[in-house]
Amino acid sequence: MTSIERDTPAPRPVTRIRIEPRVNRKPLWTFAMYLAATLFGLLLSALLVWTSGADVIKAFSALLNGAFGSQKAIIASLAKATPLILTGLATVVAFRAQVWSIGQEGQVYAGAMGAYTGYLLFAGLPPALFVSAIVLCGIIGGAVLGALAAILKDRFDVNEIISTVMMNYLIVFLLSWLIGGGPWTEVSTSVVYQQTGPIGEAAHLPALMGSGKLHLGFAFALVSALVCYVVLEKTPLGYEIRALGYNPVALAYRGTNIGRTIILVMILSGAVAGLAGVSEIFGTAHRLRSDTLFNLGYTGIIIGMIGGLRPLGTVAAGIVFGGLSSGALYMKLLAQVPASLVPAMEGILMLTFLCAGVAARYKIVRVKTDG
Amino acid sequence: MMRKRTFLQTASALAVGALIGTVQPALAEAPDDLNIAVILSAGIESGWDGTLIDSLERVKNEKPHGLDISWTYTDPLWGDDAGDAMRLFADSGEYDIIWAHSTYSDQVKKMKDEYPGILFVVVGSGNEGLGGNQYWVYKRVHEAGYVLGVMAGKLTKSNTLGVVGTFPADDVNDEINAFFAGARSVNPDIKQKVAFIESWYDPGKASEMTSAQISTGADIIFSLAGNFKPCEEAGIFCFGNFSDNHSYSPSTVVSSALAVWDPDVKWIVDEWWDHKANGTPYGGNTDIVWHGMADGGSNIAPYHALADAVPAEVKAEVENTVAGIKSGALQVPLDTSAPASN
Amino acid sequence: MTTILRTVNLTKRFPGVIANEDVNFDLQKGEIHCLFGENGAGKSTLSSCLFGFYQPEGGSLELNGEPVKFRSPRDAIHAGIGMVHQHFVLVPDFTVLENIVVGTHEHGWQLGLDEARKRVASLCREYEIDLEPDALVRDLAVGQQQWVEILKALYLGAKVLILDEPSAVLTPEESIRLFRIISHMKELGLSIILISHKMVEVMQSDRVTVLRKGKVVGTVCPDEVTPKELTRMMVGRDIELRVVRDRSNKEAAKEPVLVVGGLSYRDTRDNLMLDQVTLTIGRGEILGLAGVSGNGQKELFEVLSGIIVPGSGNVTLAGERIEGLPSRHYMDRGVGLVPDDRFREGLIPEFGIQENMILGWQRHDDYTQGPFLNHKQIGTIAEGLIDEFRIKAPSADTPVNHLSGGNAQKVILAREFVHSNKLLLANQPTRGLDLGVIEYVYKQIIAKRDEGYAVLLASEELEDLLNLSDRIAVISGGRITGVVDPENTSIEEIGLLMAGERKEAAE
Repeated sequence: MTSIERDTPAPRPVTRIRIEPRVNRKPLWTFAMYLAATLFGLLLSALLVWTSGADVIKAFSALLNGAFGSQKAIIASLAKATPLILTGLATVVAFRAQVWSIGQEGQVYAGAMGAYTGYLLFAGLPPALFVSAIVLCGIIGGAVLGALAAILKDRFDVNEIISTVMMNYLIVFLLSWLIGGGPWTEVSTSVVYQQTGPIGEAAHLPALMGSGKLHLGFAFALVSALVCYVVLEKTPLGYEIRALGYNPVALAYRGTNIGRTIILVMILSGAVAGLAGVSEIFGTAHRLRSDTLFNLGYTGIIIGMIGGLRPLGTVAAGIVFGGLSSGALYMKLLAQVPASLVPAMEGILMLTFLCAGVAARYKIVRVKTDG
Repeated sequence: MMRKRTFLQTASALAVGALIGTVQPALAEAPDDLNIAVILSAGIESGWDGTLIDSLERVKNEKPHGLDISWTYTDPLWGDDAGDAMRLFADSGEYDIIWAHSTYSDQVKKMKDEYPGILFVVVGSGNEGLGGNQYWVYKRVHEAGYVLGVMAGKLTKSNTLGVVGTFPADDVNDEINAFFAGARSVNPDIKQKVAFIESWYDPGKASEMTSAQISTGADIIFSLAGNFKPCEEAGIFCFGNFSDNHSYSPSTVVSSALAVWDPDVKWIVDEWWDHKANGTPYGGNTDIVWHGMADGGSNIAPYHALADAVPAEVKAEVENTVAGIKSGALQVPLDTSAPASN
Repeated sequence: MTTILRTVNLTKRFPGVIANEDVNFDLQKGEIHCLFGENGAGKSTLSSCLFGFYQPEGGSLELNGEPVKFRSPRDAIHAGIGMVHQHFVLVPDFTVLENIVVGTHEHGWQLGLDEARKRVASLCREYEIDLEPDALVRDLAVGQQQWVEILKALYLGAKVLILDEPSAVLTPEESIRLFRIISHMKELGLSIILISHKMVEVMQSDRVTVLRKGKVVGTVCPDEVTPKELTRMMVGRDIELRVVRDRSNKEAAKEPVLVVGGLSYRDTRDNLMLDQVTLTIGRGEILGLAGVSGNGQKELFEVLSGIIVPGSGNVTLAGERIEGLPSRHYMDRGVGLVPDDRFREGLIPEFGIQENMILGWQRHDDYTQGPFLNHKQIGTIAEGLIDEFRIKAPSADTPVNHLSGGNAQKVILAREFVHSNKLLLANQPTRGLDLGVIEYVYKQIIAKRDEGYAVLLASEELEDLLNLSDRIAVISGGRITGVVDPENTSIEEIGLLMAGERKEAAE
């Protein structure tokens, strides 16, 4: 059957729909899209809560209260946001260069382990120096793991997705050995399981704003965001990172060493992710254990994506999701919402946010044709 | 399932208390209800957590000090999340005891001084004895393990026994070592196989390790990790741990080592009552305190459907052993060194 | 003669642009009709409307006198219209036959190769196309790949063929063969729409419709007009055709800037892409490089700019051996490069003009202040260059992928001119550009030559090479088959060298 209309006497208008990129993106429109995404995501989540039989109003007021309802809640949310912002930033740096590193997870562990090594090596230094040395060791830990993937890519053409995922596994096994019977295992008569001994107070990251929850790690996150922003937008290295992401061929044609740039990208990305590990262990948990660090890196990938691969957007996304995970506990305990619904809600919000990102960049136009 | 008192209930209770108080001033200081918030570590279905709730139920019915006991419990929470939950309970002002049912002393340490009126409980190995308003409940079921060992030593034909453990922790090792000690007390030829799954809950790995032990000749498995599928497939007997595991696999689970928390709960309730009613300062233990079989802190589960599969002679030996432990005539050795296969 | 395809007042708009306005065009049965115009004149839009890619907003389309509406290329193919694109849509690892049959869905889920083989064979016989149906497409020469595209259209029953710049990728020889086949097709009753901006081809067609800024300027028969008149119709003004002969200072040219000896290069698949290439370019000299694309030009440019490392041979720049050094060193020693694939190799498309102006020089002192980029300084310099090179853009921040090909090329020229001082490597610098821009680009290159640059210039337009070069080297199969003097050579001689016949005693 042919679809050509040979005998149509008069042309009949046909409306078609097409997707076109927006040429001039208005910040207000972008903001409106994300607001709509939040509302729509919350609406879908409300439906989900409703089907589970819990009280929707109670659940959401608990969520909101727990996330940003009081000074204490806000502080708790910011503390939760801290590692997410850092792993999100690690994602931003790598993905802007289109280096598809999934290694943030392992780099968080490497950062924590590097810092713990520093804690053991430099015990006895004056407090400020001691903490600085620990933080530095953590940064180095993450950076080394990141650089390893980049070197494998540069020298042996190993795909970074595969190498980083493999290293994520390796590092977790290494930690498991170190604290599960290996040299870092807690020395105590009563316990032989997956954790180190408690970390001495001299090595704790100092608290911010007089609250026990929020610590120097949050300041690190904000400073890191600023540093990432400045590096990406204001320095020759950032120029190379962005150019690498858009068109590595032209960049190489004009004299920039691609391999070296990828290594720098992964060092920077790994360093920031490593900081997340330092911050979690030395700011919050005060004891090195595997489950405290679990999934921070993978969540960071999502946070970075939602943040539009921009440092400041990532800070915002990190705070929103920090609030969500902080408020989720309130929702669980105060509104008896089943625990499994919380990750589902986070997933829904993530999807609506990603859709908003697309909606902010593209528009749907109706095209009238009468040919 | 969850119980929680609302502010309204609390307020009315207070109001009633105030009314009564005008009539009987002497009783005004003594509380008549007790609210416990429980932080679970593995979930209500797990033996460790489930047996606690069972004990709370029994103690509630006994109404110690005439108290009306109620409680609420959480989903499994760890680390910082557990700390947040404890804070949430403490801030609500509705809870007198926060019972954190595993290794939570890191979190308690950070908040216990802010809430001096609340009694905190941490449980089992990996905790730090902080004293003050933190009490450290310990559970040793090694005596029950010894009894099961006696049974296994009698029942085995291959003289090889297997144990699948969780972590090689202090309060796991004791039980495994006692199991083999019990077995050897009746059968000196016993060979032991030990494996740890390095997790508190991993059915896949538990199954793998159990199968491995069966293939090396073990014909009775004491599973602390709770997966009896391989036993069913091999048609051999198994023992469960903490709760009565018989219903999981009626054809293989002969008995289980039971954790009974009644004496522990009563101890904590007494301590709390003493503080509230008599003004005695909290004096949390810094060293471990545990209640053995003689105090009702542990036991073994009944044979259920497999009663006929156990010869009368073996049953008698088991009863003897239990009686000996309870009377103090038999001292089960406490050995917490890491066990290994031989 | 009968009208087979006709548009009446056809109008097509894109946001902010009218691409075709009231276009009246007709195609007779058995004619070659050329669409002639500058880039952006609306040739491609018109052919896309005829092929169902676009749906016009106004006017109508008639096939054999009946109004039709194509909702997609499928409809157009159904109606007997075939199109051969400039960039082929072939699967390299499929055979000729498979490429023709794939996507036709004639036999449902089966390919029906046996029947197809017979039909393809008879089409080849009928149109005198010499193709082996079982050859892999990747083994075919570019010209032969084009025949596969044509065959595919014929296989689908095309009575009207639209050819988009068919000779852009062909040798003069292949081009001649193509036109022979096209003429034969015409005699057999096919109608052909030929999109071109090459005067030679335009003059071979039966009628020419000239488009300018989306409108039809007129339809003429080539034998009734001169090329000059056609050009005026196209551009709207008189234009100097290419560049007048203007030779360099022969004395200066004796001072060698670039000396290349015995250069060989194998690609990753072990094909010998450069074979003992030996060249010299003197100060103030333009060396033209002629050859069919894919014969080693790209590799030669890449070796000479340090992007790839030759297997053997040497490169001496101003007396210094630099083969094997990374491209950074070539740039630092004053080598500028205008690559042939400008958006892929020369620009970061998403970056603004000013950021592209410093590509490769982002760490240079002129553009940095401490550890930071000096955006203010970069902007000032970029704006100066935008003025100097007459780049048409709303601002210095405009992403270059919003620019026309000509303006984008000017960004590259500006950057490479500013940052080099000895050697300019220009590979196909005018490909796809409007005549006005081509003239500008050549003037700029000549200006650089006059400043004393050594220039290596590769172009598909032999005329241009003959006019601009001091000497022309011809490359074929990675070998320099001859170096000729443009004053004493002919297109035929160069054609033979391009086809691989070696000139005795080269140089």
